[in-house]
Amino acid sequence: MMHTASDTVMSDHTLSLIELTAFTADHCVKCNICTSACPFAKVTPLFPGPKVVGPQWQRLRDPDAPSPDHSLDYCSSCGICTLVCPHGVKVMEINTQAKAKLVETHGLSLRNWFLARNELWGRLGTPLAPLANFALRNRLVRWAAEKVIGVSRRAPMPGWAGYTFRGWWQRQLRDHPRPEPVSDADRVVYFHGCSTNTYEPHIGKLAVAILEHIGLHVEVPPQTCCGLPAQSNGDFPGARRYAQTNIERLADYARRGIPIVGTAASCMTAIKGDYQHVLGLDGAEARLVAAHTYDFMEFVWKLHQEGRLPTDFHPIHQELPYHAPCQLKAHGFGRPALDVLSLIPGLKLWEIDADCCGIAGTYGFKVEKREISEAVGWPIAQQVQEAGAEVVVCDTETCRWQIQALTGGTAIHPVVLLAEAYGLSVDDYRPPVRADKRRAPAPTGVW
Amino acid sequence: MPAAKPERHSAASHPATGTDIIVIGAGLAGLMAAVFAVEAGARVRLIAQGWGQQLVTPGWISVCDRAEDDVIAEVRGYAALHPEHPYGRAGDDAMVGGLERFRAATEAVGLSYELRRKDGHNMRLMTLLGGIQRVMLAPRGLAAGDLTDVRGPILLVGFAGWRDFFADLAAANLRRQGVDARALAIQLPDPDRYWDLWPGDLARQFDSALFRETVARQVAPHARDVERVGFPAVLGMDDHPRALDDLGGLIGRPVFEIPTLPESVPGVRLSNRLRRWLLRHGARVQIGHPVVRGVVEGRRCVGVEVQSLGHSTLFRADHVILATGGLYGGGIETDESGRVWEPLFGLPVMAPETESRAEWYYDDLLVERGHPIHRQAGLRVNTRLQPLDAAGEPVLDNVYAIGQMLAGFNPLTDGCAEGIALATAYKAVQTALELDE
Repeated sequence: MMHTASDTVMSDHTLSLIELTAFTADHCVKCNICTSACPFAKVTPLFPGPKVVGPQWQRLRDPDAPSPDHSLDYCSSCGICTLVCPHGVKVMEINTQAKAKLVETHGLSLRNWFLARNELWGRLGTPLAPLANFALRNRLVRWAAEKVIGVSRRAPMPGWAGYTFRGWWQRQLRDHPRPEPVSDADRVVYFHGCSTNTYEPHIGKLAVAILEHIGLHVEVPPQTCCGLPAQSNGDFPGARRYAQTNIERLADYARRGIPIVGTAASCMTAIKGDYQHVLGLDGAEARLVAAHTYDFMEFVWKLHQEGRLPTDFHPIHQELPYHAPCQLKAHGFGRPALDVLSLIPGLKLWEIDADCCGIAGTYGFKVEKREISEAVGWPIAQQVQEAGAEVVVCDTETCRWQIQALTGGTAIHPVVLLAEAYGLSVDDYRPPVRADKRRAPAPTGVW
Repeated sequence: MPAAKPERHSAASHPATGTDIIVIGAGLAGLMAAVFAVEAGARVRLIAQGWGQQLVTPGWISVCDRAEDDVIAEVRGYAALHPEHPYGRAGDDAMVGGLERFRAATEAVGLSYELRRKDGHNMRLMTLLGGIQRVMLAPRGLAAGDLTDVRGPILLVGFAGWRDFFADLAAANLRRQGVDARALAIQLPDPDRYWDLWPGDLARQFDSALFRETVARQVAPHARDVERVGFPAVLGMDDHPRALDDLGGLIGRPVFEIPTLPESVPGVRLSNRLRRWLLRHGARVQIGHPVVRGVVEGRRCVGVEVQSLGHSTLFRADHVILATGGLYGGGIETDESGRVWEPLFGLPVMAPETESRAEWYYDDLLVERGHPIHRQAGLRVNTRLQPLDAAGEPVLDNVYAIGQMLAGFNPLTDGCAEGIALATAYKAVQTALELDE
């Protein structure tokens, strides 16, 4: 649904007309800075670039007419255009809304519907993990999946863990009940996202171990997919259903001032920004939830700035490259993972110069886009290889899978390093980078 | 000016280590302030709402375009007589130091900016339409087009059907100014492959040796009796130095570049390479979400608030360098009431002394000395580049204003905007880190 002036008047806040997503097109001076930065237009002639399909064609889009532009399908919604625009045009948001219009007109392909339902496949595959994982790794099955539904056989696929993070957490609470905290100030809500729940539960386990080490009482309320996979495939009704469910389940915590913290930086982008600016869900509850939602490393850095973060770190003697995903850049909170990890003695991180790894959520899984996706991510592989690094640090899951596929190395979430420095471990995961635990941890200075 | 030599960028032994500097703005001034501060050993965070104007401007460095002879001497003389001018405020050392450090920093990232003229005069570089612009310093590709010492005919090469450069029009305009210029339109291989060719699209094509060969084969037969060959500034993006040399070799004549319509490929090359350098040297480069206000305690700014998703984020710093631009960069804002203000700190802004907003502009758009709003709106600063109040006292102890937002000059017409960006960026870092005391 596009914003209209009357929506604004009726909602509980007032955005000036010019701030509404579609109308930011009027700020465009055609400077082409977004086109020069678009990582996708750079590598394929199939996408004319964000300026053309965004503010330029926006003028030709009649809300009551079918969408005329198909090249828009090659936009990945990575959002770099919005970031580099010096004039405040919400280019990516305009394009994503126009993509939804395309889907409205032409329908959603079976493949895109499939990719937009990651949450469903995560749940269905878990009890069948050995079989499902065998299928994922079977070349014949992948070939057939490519031919029949169009999911690239080269796309990096995670494996099912065979259990869920939520199930593990329930057992934890049953076996080791946590005392109720005195005040809500010591509570934190953990948003795990689909991937941590079913593919990489160790990230959730490390995350709650860190939060508890900090002294917080962790709650994991019922939650569903953030909706981003549906949104980036133009399935706005599906994305809005997911979003509404999350808003309803998290609003009460937000009202109580309890922070909602997640380890999947892209899910957190959806909750904090896309619900409002792309999906148009800008009611009071959505805003309240957004205001209390934090990316995990953002939250940890905030605690550090407030003097609440223990710095009893074991040293990690490593120099590692870090990739800031496009959807992490969209938060606008800088690079909290780099800030936090710089507190660990001996650990040196450097940021890879790359706007996007190319996977862009589900984009790089599509057979017709796989080559483009790999070309976009290639600068990452080049820089990692030049540095001779085997481990890359990155905050979002699909980017880590893509980076692993491109570099042949390992990609880890920053919580892996943080937990390792704190001496926290989980039973079924061995980190590829180890802390030096011979010496007692020493508190470090403030950045 | 002595030849700048690339310096080793080591922060380890420098006294500034441990100082946090936030630079707001990613135009030439902000970008270079960040580079200078990292070189000096500070921990740097560059925060900007989008990339700056080097991505749309020609890419050369105007220091004092009107200078008839020695440019630096002209600036020194002018600054001595006009202490209110940003060159006067920053001082001679900053002007020379900024240029030298800029050349060293660009050399270090593999882009050389050439003075070319041994006598310290401005070069004479051609524009897209065949105008001639006096400029002191330019990237090697543009500098190679200096018309001062042109001895034989030059050949301008355009691409048939490309709407951004018309070689015959540019050549005709050059001939009118006494330059023996010829034009050639060549066929682009596979032109239907593209939706639209932006300068950046073409530049990436020129990164390919095969593409360069295809181009050179068409140009070489027409270049036998010319002195040099000019192309729009699209000769390579990531591999520009090689593209330039290689193409020259294949054609058998030196080649040079001519600035294009936006995007400005020389500006993209510079921004890309400096961004990578900054990241590898531990700086944070945060392009996208704007700073919405400075957080001030007493006479000190303790940090800035960025409007991030969901909530604002505070970034702390010991010093803040404000490079948010002038009227068109967002550093200075106006509205229909005729108010003129600086949005982040509410710093005092000089405004045109006119009765009404209607008098901010003359009727003639291209009036020589510029419109009152461009000439008179800006931040007044002291010689430490601290913004001043009406009484001439610094408003904040650790905030410095640089670049186009400064009062005392017209960045659109004075022909010194880049020189001032570099001089004031250099000066602000020197002041913040007390390197000049």
